Amino acid sequence: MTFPTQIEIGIKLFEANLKQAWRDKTNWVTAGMFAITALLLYSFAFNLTGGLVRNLLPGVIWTVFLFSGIFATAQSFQQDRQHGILDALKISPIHPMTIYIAKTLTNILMLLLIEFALLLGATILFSEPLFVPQLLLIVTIGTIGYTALSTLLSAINLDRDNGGLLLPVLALPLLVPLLIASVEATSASLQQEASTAPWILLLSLFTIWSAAIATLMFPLAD
Amino acid sequence: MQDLAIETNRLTRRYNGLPALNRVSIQITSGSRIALLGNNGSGKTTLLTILSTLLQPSEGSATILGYDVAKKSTALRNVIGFIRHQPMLYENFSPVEDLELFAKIYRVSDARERITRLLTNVGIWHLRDEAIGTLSRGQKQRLMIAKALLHKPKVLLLDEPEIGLDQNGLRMLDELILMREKEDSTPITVLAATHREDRVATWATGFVRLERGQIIETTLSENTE
Repeated sequence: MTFPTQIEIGIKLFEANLKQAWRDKTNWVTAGMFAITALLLYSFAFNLTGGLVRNLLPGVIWTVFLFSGIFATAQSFQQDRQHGILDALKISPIHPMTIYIAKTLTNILMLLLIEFALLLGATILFSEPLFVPQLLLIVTIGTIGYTALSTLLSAINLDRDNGGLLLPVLALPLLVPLLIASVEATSASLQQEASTAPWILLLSLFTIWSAAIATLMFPLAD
Repeated sequence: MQDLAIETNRLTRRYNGLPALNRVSIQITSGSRIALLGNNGSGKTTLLTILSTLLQPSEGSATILGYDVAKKSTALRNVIGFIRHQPMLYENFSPVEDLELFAKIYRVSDARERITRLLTNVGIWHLRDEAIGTLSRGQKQRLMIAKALLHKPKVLLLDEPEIGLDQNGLRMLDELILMREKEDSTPITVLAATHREDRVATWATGFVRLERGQIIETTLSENTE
């Protein structure tokens, strides 16, 4: 099957994944509720006023994003496996990489919707302009990076009974460099003093690395 | 000599060192309808799962229409249809949505027309817009039959296709798959695992009986290479 054909099929599969995610909202509602609750708790736990908020927000934002993302992506392929859809796709002429890319893009889109909504909420809660283009860019790049890796790890964990538990254990050490770059880039963006360019560049490199490795590894995941 | 549709050579699969399938060698000619018989745990599902490309053999080889199963090529996947114990369906899609997606994946040219015909033939056209999750086991099995036939496969691998089907469903199964596919005169090679030995004589041209992963009785010529 040719490359353009795979792209065409990948788009159809992406649409199907979105439809499936929209109709069965379990993972996404859980992730969204966790993120809202965590953000509210942080806003009450810390008295985030004045300059202090800018020091703490990068950590707060990325902790919330990371754990809600892991909640959502941990079950990425679980439902497909339970209903036999993954096997139906595996015996079809579709390339495994196409299956992975379509699922990862679905996860990225759904997570970005949650994250952008949270940034809007945090803007109100912390009285800080967080819904700004530079921060949205950092969040988008960081989300692509960690979702690429956590989607792969969720596929690796499929046949393990404690797969959901194993995902954070496997994912978090691998994601440390990417998270550091995300937090630093966010911090630099909020402080408006330091240049964000080096951190965004580093974040982009980690994202490209994790997306490329995960795409190449997925066909071997079974 | 007739063309071979399925050939296995000392096909072996072990789980934790124990063989589920042990040096199985068979040759099935094109157009044959072979019943795969045996008790639970005899290796029927393992054999079909290897042939479907979902499972790698531990040893030995298998080819379908000349394509090596282990290479999992696109060409091979275009010629096989597979029905297994569990349905392989999007539970929150309708039958039409599920079939439309797979018609795109298999590049079925006359998709809409073919989906209409298949859903009508399997008797669930009236359920075309219902969520698959709300269908009964038998209705899902009918949908699986339609899905397996969607891309006009040349080889059908069936793992207990009778599951959940009522008498009408069994007649439909015989007509569509086991005897012939109604709208297509091209002969299909069928390898079907079944516990319904009482029905085998009505559709099978031969059989293979497995026990503990080995062939103990067959009407096929065994591959002795």
